[in-house]
Amino acid sequence: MATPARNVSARTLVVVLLGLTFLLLGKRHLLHRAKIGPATPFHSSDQYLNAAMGGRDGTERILRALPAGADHRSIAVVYPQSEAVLGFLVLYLSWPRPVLNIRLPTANTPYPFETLRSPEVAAVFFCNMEPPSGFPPGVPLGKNLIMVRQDAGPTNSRP
Amino acid sequence: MTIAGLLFAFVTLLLAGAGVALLAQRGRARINFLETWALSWFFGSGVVSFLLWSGGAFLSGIGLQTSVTVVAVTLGVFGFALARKSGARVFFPKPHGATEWLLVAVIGLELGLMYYAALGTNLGWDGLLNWEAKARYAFQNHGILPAAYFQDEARVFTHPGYPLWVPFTELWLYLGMGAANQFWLKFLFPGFYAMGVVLLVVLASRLTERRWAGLLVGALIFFVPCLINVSGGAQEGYVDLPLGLLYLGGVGYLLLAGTSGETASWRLSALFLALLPWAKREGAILWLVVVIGGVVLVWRRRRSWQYQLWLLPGAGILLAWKIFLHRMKLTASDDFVPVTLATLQTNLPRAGTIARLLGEELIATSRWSIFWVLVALGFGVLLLRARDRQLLILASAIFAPMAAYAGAYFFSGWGDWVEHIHSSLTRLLLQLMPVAWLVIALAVSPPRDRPAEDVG
Repeated sequence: MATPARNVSARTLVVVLLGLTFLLLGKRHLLHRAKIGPATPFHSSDQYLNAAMGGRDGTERILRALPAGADHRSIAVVYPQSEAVLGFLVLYLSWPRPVLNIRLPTANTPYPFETLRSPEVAAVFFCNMEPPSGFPPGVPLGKNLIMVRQDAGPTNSRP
Repeated sequence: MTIAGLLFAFVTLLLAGAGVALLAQRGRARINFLETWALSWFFGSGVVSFLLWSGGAFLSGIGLQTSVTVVAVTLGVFGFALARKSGARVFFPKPHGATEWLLVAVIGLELGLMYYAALGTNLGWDGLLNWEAKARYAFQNHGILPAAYFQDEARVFTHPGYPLWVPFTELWLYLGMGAANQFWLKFLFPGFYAMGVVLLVVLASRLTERRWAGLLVGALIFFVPCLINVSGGAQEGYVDLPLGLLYLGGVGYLLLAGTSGETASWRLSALFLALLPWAKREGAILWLVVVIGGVVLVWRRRRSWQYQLWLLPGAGILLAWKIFLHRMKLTASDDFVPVTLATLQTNLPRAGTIARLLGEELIATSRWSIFWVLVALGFGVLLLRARDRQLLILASAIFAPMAAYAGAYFFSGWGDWVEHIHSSLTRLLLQLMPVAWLVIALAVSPPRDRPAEDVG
């Protein structure tokens, strides 16, 4: 018959073995490598955008390209599903301007782009897509992002 | 200037929280410094974020910031004055013996690593677009999220309907710094982890009456891989772990109130409960689970019905947020379809896949090591030891939300609903992970018939 002392040591042994298994299987994430900084205002959005667009300071490039604050017209962001990261980030940065969020299943999916040639739309961002015919040539902001700025029409200004 | 502003924001946040924590602990002869520090973090972020949101209905800009600062400092001063008047003795719990010192050293090292991981990685996808975005937009609009944001169909991907505990705590830091800065913001998230570990150590020590058991689980929690290695990890600015830590506080203090009958524990549990629906939508489910446990406890211990009034703040916050969203004419997200019997019948064939994926997740060693196996074994040990109220509350606290979360996928609005499970299940279980450590702590510690230690 097992003595109480033997029961305690068997229990301790089981707990220690389970604990060691837990530690051994859990330790892999301790090898996580990280580089601290840079301590910039757009630390995280830059990392995503630089990966998506190439180059550096991706956030600043987009912010500089956005129409001036006095222009309250809409921004359109067109992106295929595969470029949702880039599309969402442009939408995120374009606040507080009104935006048109145009997500397409693929870059070749038909869409009535002529509706975006409106004086109400200040600029159209194409994520990993060429601007369709009928649009003026765009300004490349990175390897996957082209912005087409549209002039204000006579009825475009908002209060 | 930025760092001074950040420090100012953290100090005022902690002052507000300390005030609430000390008020809730009135009647205690001894006040644990570390416990109060951890409580101050959680309650302070709750108070500041709630004041910013509710105050935003009347004030904006510097007026809003000043008012919140004044209330935060007043709360702190009032709490300290009350504690001093009551003659409560503040003590700093010191480890006893080599084992406890070793565990404390390990925890200290782990906290350092968590800060390193947080400062060295990006805000995660949801951390940036769901949470930081709200703080940034409110900061750019004098501290208020405008109605247009809630109605903006094009920005539904930022989930405007999610509550504001973490985003408006982030906003408080931005207001303090005078600038929106994604890097300095990252000091917030390891803070939640660190304070959560302190809370876990305190609660597990008291429940087991063994400080080493509390320190042991406080040291082991770091080894759950998905704490760091998945989207939604502690360092990425997601709300799931902080929500889980609130839940730990709600359940843990409820268990303490059940075993000791201490009124302060009841108040602390109720305060954590109040924050659950303010943290995330799933918080309402967690809130309901603990409220049911609280009602049962009051009834079984034949306590005055007035105790149940403490459950009202959570309901009040939940209701206020719903009314606010209704008034803002929130654009609904399409993540879930309306919950109807017809939808359930249509989607019932999903049951097998949901159960299989949940089972696979629970034993996925790359994300959980053998954590959930240990929890299951822990329940087995506790079941053999005593089938008591504590076990019932703990089992409900883990299995009821797990079932609710799994059941929610019957109503997933995603075209690829299996992808919905893959993208969210780990994070949902992460919300239950801290409280599940209490099961392990209780299982590894000796039964209660052994002499108790003074665990502070």
